[in-house]
Amino acid sequence: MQRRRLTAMAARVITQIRRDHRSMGLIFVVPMVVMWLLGYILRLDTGPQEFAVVVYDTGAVLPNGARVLAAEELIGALGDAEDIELREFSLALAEAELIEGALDAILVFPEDFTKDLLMGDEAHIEIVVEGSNPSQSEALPLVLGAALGEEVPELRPSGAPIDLQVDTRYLFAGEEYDFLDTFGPVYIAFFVYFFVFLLTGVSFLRERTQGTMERLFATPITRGEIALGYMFGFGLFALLQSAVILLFTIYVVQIQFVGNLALVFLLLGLLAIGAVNLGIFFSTYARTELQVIQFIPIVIYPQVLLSGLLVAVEDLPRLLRVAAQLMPLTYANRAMTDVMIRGYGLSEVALDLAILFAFAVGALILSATTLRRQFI
Amino acid sequence: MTGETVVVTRELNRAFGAVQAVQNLDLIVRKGEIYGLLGPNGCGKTTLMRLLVGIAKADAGEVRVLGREVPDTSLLAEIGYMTQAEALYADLTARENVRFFASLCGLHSEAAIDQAIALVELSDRADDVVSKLSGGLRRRVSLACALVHRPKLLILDEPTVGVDPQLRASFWGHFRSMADRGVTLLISSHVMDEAERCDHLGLMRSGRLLAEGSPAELRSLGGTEDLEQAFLNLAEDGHAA
Repeated sequence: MQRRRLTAMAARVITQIRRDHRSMGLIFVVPMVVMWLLGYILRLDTGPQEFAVVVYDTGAVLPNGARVLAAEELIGALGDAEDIELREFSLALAEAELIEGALDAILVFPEDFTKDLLMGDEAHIEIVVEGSNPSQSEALPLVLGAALGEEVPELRPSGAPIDLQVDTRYLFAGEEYDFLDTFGPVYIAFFVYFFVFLLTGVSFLRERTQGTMERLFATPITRGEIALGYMFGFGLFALLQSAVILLFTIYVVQIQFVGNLALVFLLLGLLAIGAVNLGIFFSTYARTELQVIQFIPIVIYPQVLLSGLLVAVEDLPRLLRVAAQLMPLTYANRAMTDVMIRGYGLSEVALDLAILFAFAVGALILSATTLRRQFI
Repeated sequence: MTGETVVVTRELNRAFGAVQAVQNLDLIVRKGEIYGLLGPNGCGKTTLMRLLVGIAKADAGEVRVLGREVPDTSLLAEIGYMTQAEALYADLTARENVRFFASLCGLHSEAAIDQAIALVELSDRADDVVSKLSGGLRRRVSLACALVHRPKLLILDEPTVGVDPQLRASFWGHFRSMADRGVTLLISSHVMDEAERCDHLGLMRSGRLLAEGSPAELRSLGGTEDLEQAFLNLAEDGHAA
């Protein structure tokens, strides 16, 4: 080993990396930004838990003539807790808000609640949760049950044991759904988006570096035809990929699935079209395949953090929520969950489909325009 | 042959930043001739060719090809353009490459594809994937891609770089027979024995056309029997001017 050769080698590598501003950014800036964002999201204070209470409890009259409404007492006690907010609703309205994500759960006090409690019979409280987020569905009944358990003894005049039963009802999914069941749909969307973006980016870049792009422009083919051709080619493989992942996860990994397969394909197809064109667009800003890969932390990672995978979009602070609303994966995730777990049909996810369609068209225009600007 | 003009440029200009790649260039190429574009690296040959095809935009001036103003996408089916880079899809076979470019120009006849492949003497390797072919063989595929749709104008950017002398001679044989059939060829080159085979030569330097004429005319203009020396003399004069 010779020292001069060695220093020459090292010096050359250092010069090359230093000249490549993007690599410098990737090495130093991107990890900081990504860690900051991740930490920010995970430590995010999502505000107090919001519950709706629906009271059917008719109360009871004590021997001394006083009227007791146990539900009210409980609600008052719970309402004093710091991280809980209670609002009184009708059941139908509360369920609608729950589906929209404006509520975390609904507490239902049945008609005989006070009576059963006072008589020492089994008293029931029903907790209604949305269900498509398992960590939330499992945690909430526990939190509420514990809070109720603390307050209930004070209601009992005699020291007789109380028998309080907390029943959980799921609007969607259910106890049998685990983490994989509910995150499966979102992961499928992510896979399609990620691989299509990466593959298109790299193959389009090759088109430029090997000179075939220049040759294409010397033929009558139009920019739109090039972008559409890529779209159909990669779109086909994106759909095949979705089919394989979907069938594999449903039948081999056996995740729960209640929705309409055709609708899922339509969704993924639109997502893939957007990803193809986004890949074309970004590849025009890359000179090497490494630089295409460098777009991953910029294009893909924020979407993983913000599109509802980790924290519900509704719970994000305003600025990040706006950012999330600009990301196609946000809508894909929501629609995939709606279709695969909630079993929604075409009319119910039409808005998300329309937004994904708009993203696809927008990306197509963007990619065709960058193609035009690139050469002339 | 003083027939109709196929390529005409007037006061053509194109700059890249401070570098004037093509400067007030007037060029005329006539039907059925082989026009050789000569000049050192970076003198603007490739830029000129891209301007003629219409994939680069002129800052000022005019380009007319086959009587139509460039850029005109309908012209592109009648132009064959071979770039300096191989410009092939490495994971497709030679035939698939040729077929692809043929169909972009609206030609779908398998016979024409076979013919183009035969012309560049590639028939026995036509179904090999391009990445397995040597550099010289790839140049042949590129040429086949450029001429498969039977263009009226062939613009070839240094087509014989990396091609062995034997194949080069055969390339030039094909160029000549195409010109005889009325195809117009604009070919850039570095190699002087190729310049001798052209009908008309243009010497480019710093984006300008310094001298033009048949090889014989250029020799007398440069005051020497040696074409290479004639070029050096002319280039020096041009530089001094």
